[in-house]
Amino acid sequence: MLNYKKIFSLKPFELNQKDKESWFLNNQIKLSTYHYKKCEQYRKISNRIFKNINNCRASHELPFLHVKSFKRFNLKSVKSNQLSKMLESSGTSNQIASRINIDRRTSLLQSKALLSIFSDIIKKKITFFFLEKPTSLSQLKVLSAKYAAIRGFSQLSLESSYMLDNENNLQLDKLYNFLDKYPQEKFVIFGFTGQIWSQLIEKLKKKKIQISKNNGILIHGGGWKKLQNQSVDRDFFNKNINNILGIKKIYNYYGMVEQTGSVFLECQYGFFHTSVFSEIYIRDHNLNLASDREKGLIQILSLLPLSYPGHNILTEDLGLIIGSDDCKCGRKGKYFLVAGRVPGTEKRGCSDVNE
Amino acid sequence: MNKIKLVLGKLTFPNKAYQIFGINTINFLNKVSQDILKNKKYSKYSDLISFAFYIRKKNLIKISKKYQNKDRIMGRGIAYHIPPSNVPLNFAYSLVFGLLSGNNNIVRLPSKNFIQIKILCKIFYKFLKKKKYLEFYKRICLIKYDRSDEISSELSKKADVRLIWGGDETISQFKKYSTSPRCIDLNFADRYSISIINLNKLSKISDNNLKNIANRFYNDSYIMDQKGCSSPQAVIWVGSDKKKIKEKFYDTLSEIAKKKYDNDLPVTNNKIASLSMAAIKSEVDFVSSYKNFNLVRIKLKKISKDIEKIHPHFGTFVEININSISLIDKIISKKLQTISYYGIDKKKIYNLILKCGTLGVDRVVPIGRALDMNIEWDGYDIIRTLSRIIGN
Repeated sequence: MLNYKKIFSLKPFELNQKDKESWFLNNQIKLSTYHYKKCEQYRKISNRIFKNINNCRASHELPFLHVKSFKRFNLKSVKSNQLSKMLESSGTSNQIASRINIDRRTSLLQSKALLSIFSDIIKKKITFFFLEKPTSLSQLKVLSAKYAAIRGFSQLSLESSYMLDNENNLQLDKLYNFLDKYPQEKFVIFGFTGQIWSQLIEKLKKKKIQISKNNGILIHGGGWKKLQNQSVDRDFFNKNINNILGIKKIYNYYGMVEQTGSVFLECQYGFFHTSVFSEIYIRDHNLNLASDREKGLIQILSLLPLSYPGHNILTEDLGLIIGSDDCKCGRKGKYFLVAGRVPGTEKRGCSDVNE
Repeated sequence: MNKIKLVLGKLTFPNKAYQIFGINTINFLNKVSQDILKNKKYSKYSDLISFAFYIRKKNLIKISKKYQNKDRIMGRGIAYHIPPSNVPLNFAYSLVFGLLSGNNNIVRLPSKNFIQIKILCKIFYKFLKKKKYLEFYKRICLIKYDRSDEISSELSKKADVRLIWGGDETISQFKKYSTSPRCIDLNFADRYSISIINLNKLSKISDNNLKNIANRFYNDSYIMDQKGCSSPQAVIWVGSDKKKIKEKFYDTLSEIAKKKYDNDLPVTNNKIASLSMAAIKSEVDFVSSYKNFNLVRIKLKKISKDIEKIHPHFGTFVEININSISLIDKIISKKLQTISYYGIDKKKIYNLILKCGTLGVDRVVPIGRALDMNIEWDGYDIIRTLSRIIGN
C-alpha cells in the first residue's frame, strides 16, 4: 500500500517534475494494482484495453477510466458496508450524474490533501462563509459536488456559516458582523464560480452594495462554463471581486468530484498547478500525449482515491500544458490551462430516439 | 400542444391508390434525378448523388422488371413514414418506396436541418407546383413536428401502412399507438452487420487491389462513424490465420482513415468512452489493440454470438478467425442484418444461411455496397409489403 505518511510529509508544490515522475509512478503502480485487485470493472478495463500494470514505465501508460464510467457503473474498491458517503457530480438536468463511493479513509485523505494544497493560503483555521443554502452535512448520505467541496473546506474552518437562505436569498448579516468586529482579520468566502457571480456579485451590484477593503480570501472552483456566454472572463471577474467584495486575494481551482481533495490550484499568473498528490496529461486525437501548449483531452491522476477507482481518469475537459517547474509563481511541477469541455459529436446512424 | 408544420403538400389525400411502378411516378422521379445531377453545386453531396442515380428512369425500370404481376398490384392507401433523425436522405428513399408502391405519403422529416433535405425539398416544390405533376402534389405530404404522442398517434390512425425507421426505441413507441385493423407496419429495428473476408484470396491479390478493397471497406464503415445498421462492426476472417496479411489490410485501412476520416477530439473522446464501456460490460473476454487510434482491433478470446453486443463505433472492429465459412452459424444471430463479403461465393453464403436456418441475415452484398439503400431491406421486399396484390 502507499505510504501516505511520507506523501503528506512533502510540501505540495516543491517537487521538481523530474524527481516527481519515478516517485509518482511508483505510487500509481501500487494504487493501480490495489484497484485492479479490488474492483472488477477496473480489472476488466485494464485487461482488455491497457498493457499490464507492471510493464508500465511511465504513469501515462497506466490504465485509466473514462469519466463517463462513473455515470454508468457503480464503481467501488471496498465492500459496501465500509462506504460512508456518496458524492454526486452536478450534471445538468438531462445528464446522468457521476456517483462516487467514499469511505472514511478516502474522505480523510481528501481533507488532508485539501489542507495541504491550501496550506500556503490558509495557514491556520479561520472563519469560512459558504455561498450555499444551509444544510446539515453530517446527515446527508449523498453529497453534491458543491457540498462535497464545502465539507472539505469545513475542515479548515474555525467557524463557518452559509450565505444563502433556503430561497436562495443573500444573507450577509453574519459577514457584516464579522467585518465590524474584526476588520483586520482574515476570512474565506467559498463558492462555485458561476454562483459567486450570479448569486453574489450581480445581486450586490443590483443593490448597489460595495463592501469596503478587507483581508478576505475568495476561493472558487467549478469552471467558467456558465459565465462564458455572459462574457465574464477571469480579469473581469477578479476586478469585480476587488471592487464589490473588497477582497484582493482570489484563488480559483480546477477539480472534479471524481478526484475531490487533490485539486489544482490556480496561481496569481492564471495557471493551474499540479501538486504532489496529482498529475496531469493531455491527450491528442490519437490518444497520444500532446506536446506542451497543444490542446487536448485532460487526464488527471490522484494518489487519494482508495474506496473507488478514481485515481486515473480521462475527463471530457480540454486543456493544455504550459510547462513544468518554471512558472513565475515558483511552484514546481506541471502547470496548465483549462479550455472548456469537448463538444459532443454529431449523432449519426439509423437508430435514434425519434427526437 | 405541439403543432404540425407543413413543409410541402396537404394532410388530406385522395381516397385512392395507384399501380406500382406507375409510369407517371417513374417519369416524375426521373425529373427529380435529372435536376439533381445537372446542378454542379450538388456534386459534393455524395449521398444526394447516389440517390439521384437510384431514381433514374433506367434504374427504376430495371427494378420494376422483377415484378411480373405489376398490372394487378397497387398501393394500400396512405403510407406514414418515420425516418431516423440522423441519416439525411433516409426519408427520401422511404418516400420513393412509398410512391413506387402506389401509395399516398406522409413523411415526418428529421428535426435536424440537413442541407441535403433542404435541397431536395426545394426541388420537389419546384415540380409539385406545376400542373403537370398535380398527382404528386396530392400524394406527397412532408411535415415536421417536435416529438409528440398526440400527433404521432393521430397520424397512425390515418395510416394504411407505417414505415418505422429509427430502431428499437422508436418502434416500441409507435407500437403503443392504435392503428386501423388492416394497417401494416414495416419495422426497421436496431441491427448489427459484419464483413466476411477470405484470407487466402486476400493474400494473393496485388497491393493495388488490396487498397481498393480497403477503400470500399472504409466507405462501408467509417462513413456515418460506423453507426449505420449495415456498417460492419466485425470482421470474420475465413481461412488459416495469416497475421501479416491482416496487418497489411488494417494498415492500409488506417492510412485511408488518416486521410479521409476526421477523428477530432470529440470523436476520440466518444470512441475511448464507448470502448471503455464495452470493456467493462462485455461478457465475452477480448483484447483490444491499436497502432493508430483511428483503427482499433478487438480480438475475441473465443467464438461467440455475443460479438453483436460489442460495437464501440468510430473505427473499432471486432475480429474472429474461423477456418471454414461453414462455422458462421456459431456467430450469426437474429440481430444480424448485412453480411458484406470479399473472396467468397455469394451462393455459398445463401446456402449456409438456409441450411443453418438462422433467423438473422437479411442481406448479402460485396464489400463496398453495405450502405447502398435497396427495396429489399431488413428482410422485407418493401414494394410488395407496401402494396396489395389482386388475386386471381
